[in-house]
Amino acid sequence: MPTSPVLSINVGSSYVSFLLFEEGREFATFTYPYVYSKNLFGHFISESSFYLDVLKIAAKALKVTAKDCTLLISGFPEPPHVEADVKLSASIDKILATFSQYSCLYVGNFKFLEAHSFMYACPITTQELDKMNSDANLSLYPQITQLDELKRFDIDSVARVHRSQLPDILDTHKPVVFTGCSFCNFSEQLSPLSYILALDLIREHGTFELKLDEHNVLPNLGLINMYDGNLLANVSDYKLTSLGTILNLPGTVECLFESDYGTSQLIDVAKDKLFFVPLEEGSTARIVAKNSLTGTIEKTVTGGKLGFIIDTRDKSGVQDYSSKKYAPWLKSLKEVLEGLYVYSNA
Amino acid sequence: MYIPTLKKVLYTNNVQIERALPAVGKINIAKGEKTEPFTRLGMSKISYKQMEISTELEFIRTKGWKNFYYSGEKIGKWNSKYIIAPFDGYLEKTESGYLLKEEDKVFWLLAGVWGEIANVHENKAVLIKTQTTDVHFSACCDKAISGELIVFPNPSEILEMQYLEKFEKYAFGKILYVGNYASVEIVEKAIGLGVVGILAGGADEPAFAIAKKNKIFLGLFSGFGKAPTPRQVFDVLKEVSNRYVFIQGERNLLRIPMPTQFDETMLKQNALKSLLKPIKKGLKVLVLQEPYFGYIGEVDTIKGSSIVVKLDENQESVEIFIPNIIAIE
Repeated sequence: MPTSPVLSINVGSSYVSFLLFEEGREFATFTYPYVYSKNLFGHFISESSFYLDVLKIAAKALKVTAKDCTLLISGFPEPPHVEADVKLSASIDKILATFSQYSCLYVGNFKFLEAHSFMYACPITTQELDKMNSDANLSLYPQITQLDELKRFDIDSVARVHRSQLPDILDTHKPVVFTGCSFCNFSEQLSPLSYILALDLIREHGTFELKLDEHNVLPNLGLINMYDGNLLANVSDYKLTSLGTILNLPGTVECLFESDYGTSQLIDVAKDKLFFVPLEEGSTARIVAKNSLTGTIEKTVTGGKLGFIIDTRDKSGVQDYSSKKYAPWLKSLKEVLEGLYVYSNA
Repeated sequence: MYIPTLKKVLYTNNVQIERALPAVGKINIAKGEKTEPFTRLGMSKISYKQMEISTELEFIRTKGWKNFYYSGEKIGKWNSKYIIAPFDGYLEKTESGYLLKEEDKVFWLLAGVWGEIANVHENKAVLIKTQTTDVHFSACCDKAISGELIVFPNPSEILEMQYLEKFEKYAFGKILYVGNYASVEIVEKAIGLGVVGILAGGADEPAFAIAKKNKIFLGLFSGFGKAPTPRQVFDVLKEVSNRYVFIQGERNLLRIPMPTQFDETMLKQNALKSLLKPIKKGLKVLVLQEPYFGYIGEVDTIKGSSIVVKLDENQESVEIFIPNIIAIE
């Protein structure tokens, strides 16, 4: 077992995230919201020099000296080559495949990865000149955070389309963790668009516990575990943000919701709705749900930031991912995030 | 918070530029000799024009193929029409028909740069050691070209086409800097005029696709859309109109040959004290947030990830969020 601190670096599609693991200390993280782009920097600085400079900034922020740390690095499709004593480097898809306790969905700009497949790039399909230019600029300047909701929604929809073409990949017994740059916000509160994207990526029917990797630490935890399986007693110990539990059933759903406090309510949710029941993190509730497609589902569900979510939208096949169609769902989600839980159908 | 720095202009000594003959010929300069842009390095004979003619050609008279035809002379008849030689040349027979090849003309290879011959590849090419001011393209076609650079004085979008039309007779084989924005119309017009490269601050994505399809070079100094050319780039370009320049698309570089080597002071400007600069008042930044994409300004105030930038263009103060800015030199 190494005695030096382990500094794991994950180079994502638009951020670089660092995780410092030192025995006897809490994990420490640092996120740098810029990545190397050959188009921009290739004429005067190498990829290696760029990341060594970023490493210096990160080490300073984490109050360690980089050369005293065991360095690990991951990236996609391949980890960047850094001229330093890197002990292990691995691609993110290989790291995701090592998590047996989670189903991991990694989303970045025009990227989607899960344990068994990935989408790395896609052609620009929009016919709108403004969007074409925005998308093209995103490939030149990968760090750009699109503030325009409509454009951001369209970028995310590339992952939606890709996901709709995949077979069932989620297991109802495993929490689903959303990771990658689309779910990691550098400074502001995470955009409601990230949450709606997460909900859209759940296509399989049933209940799923949802977790969010807001600091993009999962690839780093996986990499540390790949380097030394004994180092982290339990990767699950790292606190990911609990979003709650989703009941994903297309069509009308009738659900009996019994909280830990002994209160119960019968909820009827019409088809094509998103319905949020407040259930805070750490709390559990028992549900009995009836739906024509799956019959009766009885389960104990856990709470989180979004509570207990009943999603009756049809997500089979490629859908109409227009912002107009999404407006009521997004409005409902925004109200939940603002703390105004909605008890009526969106 | 630290942000990366983008260097748009670099000064480089000891750049090696290859100058090659279009066909095997004669190099008449030796290693170690000095060159200037109009120094003749060597010559070869090449045929500039060719015309393919169908096998169904019916010759008139008894001249037939293997013969020389003068410009304007009737070669034969095809499809009830006379085929007339558009230039002086020899008619050859090929597998697919006949080929009228213009008479070989002498091609003189000029140095294009101030420098010294570093190596000679006998009868074919030379390598010249020179010095260049390098300007960075944010996006460009993956091509290597060279030619005379013509710089329009950053005309407004409406005037760009007028400039191009005025320049029509001289555009063939040239590289044109058209201004802040190269519209699809400008790119199509330039292709029609036989321009080999178009440079601009920004262009729409379809213009880029058109340029690629027509195998001409398109280089953008800022990015896609109506993104203006950074001031420091235009300041370099406006001084070198009519200069013979080299473009290395693979490296995103426009290389402008310079008469003398750069001194230490100039070379020091290349060296970054640090790639990552702390955001502070007065820092020059390139804005990457719409609708100000491509504008340059100075950091005015900082509040967390919100940065107020005063734009150089109009002194307007705009709020930009990290990471939608990058330092620029």
